[in-house]
Amino acid sequence: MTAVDFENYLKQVRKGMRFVSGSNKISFCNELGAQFEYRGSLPQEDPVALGKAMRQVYGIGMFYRIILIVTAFPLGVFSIPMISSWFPGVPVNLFLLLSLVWVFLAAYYGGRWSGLFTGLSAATPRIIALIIFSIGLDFINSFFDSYEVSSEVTGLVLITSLLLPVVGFFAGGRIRRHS
Amino acid sequence: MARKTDAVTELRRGAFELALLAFLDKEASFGGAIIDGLEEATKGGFTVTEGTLYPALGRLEKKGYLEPEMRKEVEGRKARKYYSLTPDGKERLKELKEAWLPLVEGMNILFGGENNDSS
Repeated sequence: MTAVDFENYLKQVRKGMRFVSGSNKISFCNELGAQFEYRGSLPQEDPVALGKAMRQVYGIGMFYRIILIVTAFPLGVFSIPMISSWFPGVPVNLFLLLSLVWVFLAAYYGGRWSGLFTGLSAATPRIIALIIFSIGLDFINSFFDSYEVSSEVTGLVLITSLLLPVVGFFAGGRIRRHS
Repeated sequence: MARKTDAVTELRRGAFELALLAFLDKEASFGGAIIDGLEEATKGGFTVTEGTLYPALGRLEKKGYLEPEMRKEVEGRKARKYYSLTPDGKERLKELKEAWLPLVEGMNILFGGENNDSS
């Protein structure tokens, strides 16, 4: 077993640990390096699988968590049902579904707090829209003729918005517990 | 057959945390030495691989049961990450032991009963 074999092994481990923070990646690879020196042989496991198992432990890095959180906001904007009155081409239901998938992704890779904050980010524009349409409907109607929001739509938007962070939080906990 | 394998895997997984904590309670140790030491201490009862050990160590460290410490023992060699039990880890070990011992005792009686019946 040569150092080159070990370097190739580490390369595969790093591949499995994609999206994990650099410091955790370096720390684990150093630990494996010490292990290699001690035993003189490569671990028996598939290196990518080992890397993925460690990613489940560490979760993704802060940079990627922030990207997931930030990206959830525009997804939330385009999932506001009222927006289809102004832009009829926007598939709001599809964006709502995408937001949910995004929240699950954040929960899976980043854990419950990542799921919670991504859900909150997606829910924020929806809640803001609800407040605007509840309080400022008269103001909106000074630009658009007799715009109406039914209580069913309001209720649905509120429930789905609240569900996004809740789902993110609990899904994150469950996914990581079972992995 | 698959169900049987799953049950065995589950059983080993459940006992592994306890074995790891009990082993590290005796003295701080690092990856490779834990693999060899556990196998030796349990007379081959616990044969673990890196894929089982490192994620378990990482999880226990995240839960605050283990404290890592980098030690450079030989000049020119990589520093080794030694794990030792924190006070929370010792508490967790105590808790697991209290659950484990009556379970093993009960199972031994159960298996002993079976042996007596068959003899």
